[in-house]
Amino acid sequence: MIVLPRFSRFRRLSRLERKLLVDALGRLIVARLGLWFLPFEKVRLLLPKRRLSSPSASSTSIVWSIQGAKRLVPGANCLVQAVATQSLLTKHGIESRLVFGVALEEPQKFKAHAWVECDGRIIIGESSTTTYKQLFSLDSVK
Amino acid sequence: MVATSNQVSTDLAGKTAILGLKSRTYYTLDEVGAPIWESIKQEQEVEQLLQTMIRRYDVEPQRCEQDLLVFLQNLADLDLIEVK
Repeated sequence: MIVLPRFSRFRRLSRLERKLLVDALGRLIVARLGLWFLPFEKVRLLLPKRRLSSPSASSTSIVWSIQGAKRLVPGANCLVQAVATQSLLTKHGIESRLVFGVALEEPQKFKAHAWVECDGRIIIGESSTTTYKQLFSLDSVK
Repeated sequence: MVATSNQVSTDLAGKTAILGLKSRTYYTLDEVGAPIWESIKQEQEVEQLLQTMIRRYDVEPQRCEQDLLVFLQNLADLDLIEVK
């Protein structure tokens, strides 16, 4: 009963939206499993590198697809989402930056986070509660 | 001693946050460790470090040397610093 309404919603999406969702899901799964077993540098190389000759998706729709698909991937944390997002953006010819940040919350609570920026603007992983200080960033693979 | 290239770090409210790139682990240094890390980033002789610490803190030189060496050894074991 829970599955049916979701599927009918899926059917009502456009062909592009469905393709994006499936693509996002695939990349999230690869990122999730990859980060479990492999060093981070290898995971980025694991994801498909093909760039579309005529890209069709905007960063907004890509973020939408990742946020939709992540519900189906247990353990899709901020880093998994960021890695998958950057790879999907790259496929559609959109340059991005994957940023690792840290924050110290009283008392002594240390937090780490990852997000993706395009043109200096956070498009996924923005935190409304904590201000993170950038520690490290990776530009999309050329 | 100098920081290795297998890490990135930033200061954070008087402490230091370090991300070991190989270990994929975050470390934090408190207000005593943070200035030591700042010096090591630029490359630093252990003896010089030791003298600075003895001057800065009200501590017995021998005790200071012991603690400092343990601290540096810990950082080296984590591949965050190396001896040049």
